Amino acid sequence: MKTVSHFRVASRNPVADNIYRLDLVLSNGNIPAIPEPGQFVMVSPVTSTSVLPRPFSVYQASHERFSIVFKIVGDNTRALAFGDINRQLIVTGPCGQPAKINDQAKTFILVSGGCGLASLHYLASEIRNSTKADIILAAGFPTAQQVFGQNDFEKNLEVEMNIATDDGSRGTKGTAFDVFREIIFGEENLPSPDDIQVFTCGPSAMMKAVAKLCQQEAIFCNVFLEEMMGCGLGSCKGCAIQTTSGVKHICKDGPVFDAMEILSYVQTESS
Amino acid sequence: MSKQNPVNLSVELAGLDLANPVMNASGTLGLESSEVVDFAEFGALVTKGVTLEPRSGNPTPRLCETSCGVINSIGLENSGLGVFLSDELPCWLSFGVPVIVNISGADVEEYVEISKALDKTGIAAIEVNISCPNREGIIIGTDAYRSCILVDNVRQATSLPLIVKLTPNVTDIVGIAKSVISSGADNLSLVNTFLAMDIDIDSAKPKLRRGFGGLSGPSIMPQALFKVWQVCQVVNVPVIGMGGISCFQDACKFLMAGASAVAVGTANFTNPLIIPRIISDLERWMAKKGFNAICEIPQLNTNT
Repeated sequence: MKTVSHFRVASRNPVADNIYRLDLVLSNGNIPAIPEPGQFVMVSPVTSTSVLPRPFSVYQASHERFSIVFKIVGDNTRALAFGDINRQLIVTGPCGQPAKINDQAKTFILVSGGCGLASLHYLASEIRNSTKADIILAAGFPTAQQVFGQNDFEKNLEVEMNIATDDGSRGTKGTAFDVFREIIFGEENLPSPDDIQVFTCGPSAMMKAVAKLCQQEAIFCNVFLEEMMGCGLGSCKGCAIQTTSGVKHICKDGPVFDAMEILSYVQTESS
Repeated sequence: MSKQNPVNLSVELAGLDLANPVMNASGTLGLESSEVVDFAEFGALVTKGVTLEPRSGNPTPRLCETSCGVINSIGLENSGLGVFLSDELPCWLSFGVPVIVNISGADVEEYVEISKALDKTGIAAIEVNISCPNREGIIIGTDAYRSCILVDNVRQATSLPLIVKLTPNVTDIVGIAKSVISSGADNLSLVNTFLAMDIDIDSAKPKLRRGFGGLSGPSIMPQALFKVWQVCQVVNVPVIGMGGISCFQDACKFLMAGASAVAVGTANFTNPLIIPRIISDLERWMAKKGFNAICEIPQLNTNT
């Protein structure tokens, strides 16, 4: 069930430069369903000048508790990152549709840019728990200072993190897309395209490049989209996206879309 | 032992009895939101703008947050009258609360056609939106003459109570208000959003793809309050006041300025449970003040 409930900030920790993790525990209100990978939550604003809730992907979740990992981008995320422990947050969710995991796939390739990695962590743990497939992760960051989640992926999920940084200060120099292209063209043990599923979350330009390459190689690719949202429920029509089956809404029908369904998005150049 | 509630929150608009004076502003709460907030508690339910044909709306980004506000350029995305009548209206009517259908047309004929189709469908009233800033063409509600002709035609097309929603983007809102009343508006609702824009300084581009949109939220509250007060000074039809209401104190101010009911918009985003909260806070405040009915809330006293 989707609810509007109060969650308490149980802990908050920096995980990289300007990137924070909050662990939230239900404190008051109806018990929401445990989010599924791909779903997100709306956290009501905590600064007095802010009126819109913010969508956050779920990094990890269990009964009545979940974690978010986010970058400080403005006053509201700064206030969330530095707010008091035990502060109450109004949380609406879980919102959106679960990511569709192809349980026949032999290999999952996850491609993230920056904080997009946060969405893919929960998905990776679900794939690990529910399938025997290989998971390959290509994670791009601006510099070594922004790298996070390595322990969570490598120790807990046994997923190797193939890191790229824009400046080459960690891993290979370049983007997650460069690493992804290496994997597609260089990895010898990849199964046939039919047995691969790709998930990508990060900057638009990166996701579009990943989706185009997948289209070219006939690989099933799923894109995590983001847009300014008013309600997160499908009411306000703020986050519309043109799909092959008409206008849909990222909050209600997404946020994860089959790349073939959003070709007009994939094919436009990023501004 | 049963405890009698002494506070009566009910209000009467022209042709419309509400259990309490708080409703949602059009476009901010759709059927999707009924999963998280109890629509049965609302004074009335106002639908998103319905147009004759389906509309896919404006390109994204359609929303941009500003200090204490949000600018939107949704562009009346909706499934069109046909799907509204067959699929959505039965759900809206299922909450046992008066349903107000907000309508928007490209021309007078479209407004008339939609109004006719809504007759005898079980809805409580039509809100005639003459003030959407986000569709093509001129905003009818900025022109008294065009507004008159439109309301006159809609009036003849339906026996349902009419609420005419006014834009604040005019020099003389009182003049427009008088015009639409003379053409048969039973109630007024005001204000719609204020025309606004924001700019991304890195790209030198507008933050909304369309360039501009309508501003709502707490930042417009004092301006909206003033317009409602101005109009209520001179008109004798009930007014639904709206514009940045985010707490019961704001709602009280609009009632004191002369509004008969209020609508809450942007605050539904900030907290989806805000309308039930405003209703219960208002009730508690009235009990504390010893007001037994909404009409006992004092009107603004400008004498010094």
